[in-house]
Amino acid sequence: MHDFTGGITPAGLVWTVRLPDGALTTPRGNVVMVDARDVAVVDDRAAPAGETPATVSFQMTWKGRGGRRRLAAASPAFAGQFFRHARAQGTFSGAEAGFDFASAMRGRARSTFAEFGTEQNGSFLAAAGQCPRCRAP
Amino acid sequence: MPQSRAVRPLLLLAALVTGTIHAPRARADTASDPVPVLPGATILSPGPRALGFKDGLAADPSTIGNFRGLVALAYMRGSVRDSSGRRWLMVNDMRLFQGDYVAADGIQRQGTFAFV
Repeated sequence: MHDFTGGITPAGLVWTVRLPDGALTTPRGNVVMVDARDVAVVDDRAAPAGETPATVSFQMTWKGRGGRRRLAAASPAFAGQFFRHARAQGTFSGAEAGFDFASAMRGRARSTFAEFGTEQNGSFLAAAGQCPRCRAP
Repeated sequence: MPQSRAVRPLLLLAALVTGTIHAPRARADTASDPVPVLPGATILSPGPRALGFKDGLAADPSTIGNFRGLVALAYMRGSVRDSSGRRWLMVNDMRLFQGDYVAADGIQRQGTFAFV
């Protein structure tokens, strides 16, 4: 088993890595695409056990349809507008010393569940509460 | 240790096995990095309860706190092959975030991030 992740910062930010702004495009309002190349991650392998520096690349497309609905929660607080239906598909590859992988030629990975929208949380949510006209993310 | 996760990022399985969650790996961070939504290296995994996502749909998909912007989440499943031709099942939780965030230093910035 291989387990590729972006690591966890001392502050507790989980598996979240920075991408170049140009990696993400929104050709239409209901479509978002990402093309990320050679993102530095680690592979937490089961056997032989240990972490190995690795890179992964992925090209994915999300499509939303059916209008947007508001989703929100109180704890942790967030509010957003998300498409009622979303799906994603993409191709993946990765490499490390002694191992590499790539999506099968006819095997684009597909989502079993997807979400796509806009949201705000934390200080932005608090600020929106003080400014009703700013409430929609 | 991350909790509330139904799937894990870029997990390659040679067979259908249940993965264990290992101790968090530390990665250097800077004052300009985003802050997490939840303490203790914890995240939420939104999804339909009918599919086993106990957080339900009304759960923040963002791992970044003090954030405002685009969010996309997908629980992916597909097959990949290694260089020897061996086929692997790939199960992953992929997320994108692009927008404004208030970093650990209190300064508002813009950025694009992936949950991998």
